[in-house]
Amino acid sequence: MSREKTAVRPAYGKNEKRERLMGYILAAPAVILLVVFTVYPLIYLIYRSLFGGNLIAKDPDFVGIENYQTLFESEDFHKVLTNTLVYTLITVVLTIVLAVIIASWLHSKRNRKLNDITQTFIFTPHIISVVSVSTLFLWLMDSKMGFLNSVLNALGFDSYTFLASPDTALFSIALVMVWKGLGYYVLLIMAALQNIPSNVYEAAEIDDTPKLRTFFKITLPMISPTILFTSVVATISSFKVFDSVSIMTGGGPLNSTNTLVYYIYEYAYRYGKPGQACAAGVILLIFVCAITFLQFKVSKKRVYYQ
Amino acid sequence: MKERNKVLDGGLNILDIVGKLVLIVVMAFPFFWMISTALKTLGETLLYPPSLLPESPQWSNFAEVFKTIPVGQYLVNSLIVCVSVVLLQYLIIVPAAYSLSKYDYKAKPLVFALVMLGQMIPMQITFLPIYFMFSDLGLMDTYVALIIPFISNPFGIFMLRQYFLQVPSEVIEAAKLDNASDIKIMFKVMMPMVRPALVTIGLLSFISNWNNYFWPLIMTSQDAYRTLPIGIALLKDADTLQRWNIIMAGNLLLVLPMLGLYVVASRKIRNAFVYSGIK
Amino acid sequence: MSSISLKNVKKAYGNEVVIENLNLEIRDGSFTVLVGPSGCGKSTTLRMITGLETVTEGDVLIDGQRVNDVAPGKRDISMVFQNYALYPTMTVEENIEFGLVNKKVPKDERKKRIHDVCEIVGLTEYLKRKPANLSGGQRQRVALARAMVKDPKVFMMDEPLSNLDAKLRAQMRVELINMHKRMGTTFVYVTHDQVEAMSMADDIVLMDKGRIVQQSGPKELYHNPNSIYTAQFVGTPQTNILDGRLPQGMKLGFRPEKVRLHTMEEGEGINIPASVQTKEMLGSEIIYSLDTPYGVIMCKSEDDVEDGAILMVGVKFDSMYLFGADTMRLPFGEEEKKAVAAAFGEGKA
Repeated sequence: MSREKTAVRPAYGKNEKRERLMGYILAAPAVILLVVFTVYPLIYLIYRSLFGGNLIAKDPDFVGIENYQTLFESEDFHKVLTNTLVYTLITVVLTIVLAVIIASWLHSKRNRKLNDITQTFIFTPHIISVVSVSTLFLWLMDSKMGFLNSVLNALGFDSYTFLASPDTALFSIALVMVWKGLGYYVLLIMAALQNIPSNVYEAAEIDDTPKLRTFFKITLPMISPTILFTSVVATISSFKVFDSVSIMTGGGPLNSTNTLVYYIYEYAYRYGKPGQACAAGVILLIFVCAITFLQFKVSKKRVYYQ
Repeated sequence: MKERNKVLDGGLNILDIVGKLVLIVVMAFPFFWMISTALKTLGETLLYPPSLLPESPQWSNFAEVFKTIPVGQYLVNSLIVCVSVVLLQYLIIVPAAYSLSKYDYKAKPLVFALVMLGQMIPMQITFLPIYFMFSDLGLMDTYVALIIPFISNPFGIFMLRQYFLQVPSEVIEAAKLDNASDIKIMFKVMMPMVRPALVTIGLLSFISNWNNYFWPLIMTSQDAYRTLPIGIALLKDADTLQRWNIIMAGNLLLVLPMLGLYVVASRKIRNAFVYSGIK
Repeated sequence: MSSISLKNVKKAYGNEVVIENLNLEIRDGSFTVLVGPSGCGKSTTLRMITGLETVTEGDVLIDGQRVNDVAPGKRDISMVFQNYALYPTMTVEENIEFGLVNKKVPKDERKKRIHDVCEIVGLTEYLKRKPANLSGGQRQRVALARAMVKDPKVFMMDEPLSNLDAKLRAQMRVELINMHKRMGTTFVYVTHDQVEAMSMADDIVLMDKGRIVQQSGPKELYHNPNSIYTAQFVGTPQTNILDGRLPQGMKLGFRPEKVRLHTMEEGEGINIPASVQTKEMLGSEIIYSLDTPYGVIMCKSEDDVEDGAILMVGVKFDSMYLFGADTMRLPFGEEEKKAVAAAFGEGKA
């Protein structure tokens, strides 16, 4: 249907004109909504980041890049950026490595029925609200009465501080989010594994390739595009982390779990500095754009596929 | 030699089964703990080391949840928002996807780029400007604020477009020759053909809106419009001493509908997520 | 009354012109077949008549009314598509009924018409089925029923038989001819298959590169081609063309079935020395490819000759076509006969 059509045609093509108009009319509601809720907010975010003022004031004063300067000079913000990056790194690496291992494991021919059941269970937390998962783990990870510590004690270990100590809180949140998200990534990687034609494995078997070598030399390269893609998805979703921080720690203890989106939220609503919040929002925007751009770049050279 | 292989294989098999069972326990135990805690007395939650099961299930914990926070109101709000988003979005995304797949016009690439941008930009970036906009319009603490931003579902448009592209143009032409209007072709001929996609989109958006915490947190401050996830977060902070049995009971109310849905349509839901992940 | 005419029609996609200045008259009640190789513009022409394709320049008239700006659904046309284009989510009955509902035909009449049509095409038992549960032949019938039930002025078909197997296709050809007789409406049929065109049409429009090469009845098209293109398009094997021996670039053509495996008398035709290269048994006939001093020629004959045999073959003057250097047909008078005789050797050699 996508054929080019001549531009000038007086007195003809009434049907065609009608068709074109219909195309616009049908797309219009979605376009309007997308402009109002995506394009305009992006523009306004950048614009507003150049102004001071508070949440209520009608006419905030123009301050230029002062908000950005304040951010970069603020030690808190450095901490927030570091937290966000460390959290992202832990979550993404753990998630992807575990997902690849578990997906390959569940893809094997051994105990097929059990594989399916295991997969069903692993995926369950993904459709559960972060609010539920966070409250639940807040309870499980309670440093004094939590179940996890009771297990550690029973095994002869000391109690772990989990969310109570600035040294372990960020890692604990990351663990919870890995637990929650793992099933989704296992699912995606298994889908990729299922797409590898079985004759590739048969060829390797005829060549008497050891199993581990088959995994590293055949399986891994063939699912590399999916690994890349899932890493990008996991990275962006880690950048956005908010719900779990808000519920489990509120950014503490001692700012140790304060991440970018939580920081934006707090600066806007608790400290009433929307200009600075918007500036931090622009930085998040840059992060997301950079990762997406990187994905386009790399996937153009498509790591490996038939 | 053969004998040894058999023994080795048997050992591996047991290891395999044990490993998978451990994995299942790791994934399932927290849910068990949620249920178990929800049925304990406050005293039992304070035991250390904790007991695995409550002495006798305390069903009154659920009643206590209703006394502590207006759960009924939250539940109704959650349902209103989820159902409205799921249904209203079809009115927006079906025409948009149809337009992008079967019509020709100059600005089409631009419209498509807009849809891609919508998919790429998370609401955690755009929420402040939308908050300002809604405050100015007096839309804070309204259903509109909770529903409208989600009905242009760009992922839904993208997925439906892929499905529409696979419908041969001849079917549309046949309908045109049958004197059917564009709207009729869209709803009577095209929509029934992509029913699986519509179900997938509906499922995904129901789940994500049911679980959404961030958006209602920003857009609501009154119980009349708060949704269940907000309610559960409030429940957690309702008392100075956390009554975990009550919190877990409330939590179950938020979790059970999703678990129920998952039990009924596990495969369908997983396939929907695979599709959303791979595109 | 439903004649169709295209007047000075041009069709272009952007800068690419696919049809330039096409003029075509389709008689009321005729079974007109548009035929030609793929990309010749036959489907585009059909689609412009239906309104599924707009006309870049010129006019499309149905019953003398200009319909350029009339929506496809308002032209009173039915169409059967190559892939049938059935509505997959509707039952057979709903498929057939869809157009009638859109035309606001009252319910009782709809039921009656559907009943009648299904009797004719033999679908009565399948009314409640979905297209996915039908065989290819049955889907074809649904497509026909859906088109017939609207009682259209014009009945369009775009390669409707090409998805059927050979046996079913032959059977459907007969049914379509009967259907046309019974309905009496104008049929416009597009195909690339010359056999389909020859067997069903009472008017054939042979197209090439967006132009009409020849429009005539099947008999005329076969016996009186106006160009090498027509002569070679109709009939298998292709008409033999001998080039390079006649003055002014003229070419000589004759059909394989007109090549005789015996010599011609003087004044009757020409004789060509030949050796049998290959031999294809078709049953009643045999196709020979013959090596001659003028190149390989094809011959279709009932006579049986040994493979590798060397013999003289003859072609009558009556069964020859003469073409000019521009590949168009030339008159074949006494003078030309002499020229041919001189070039190829007349009578016993």
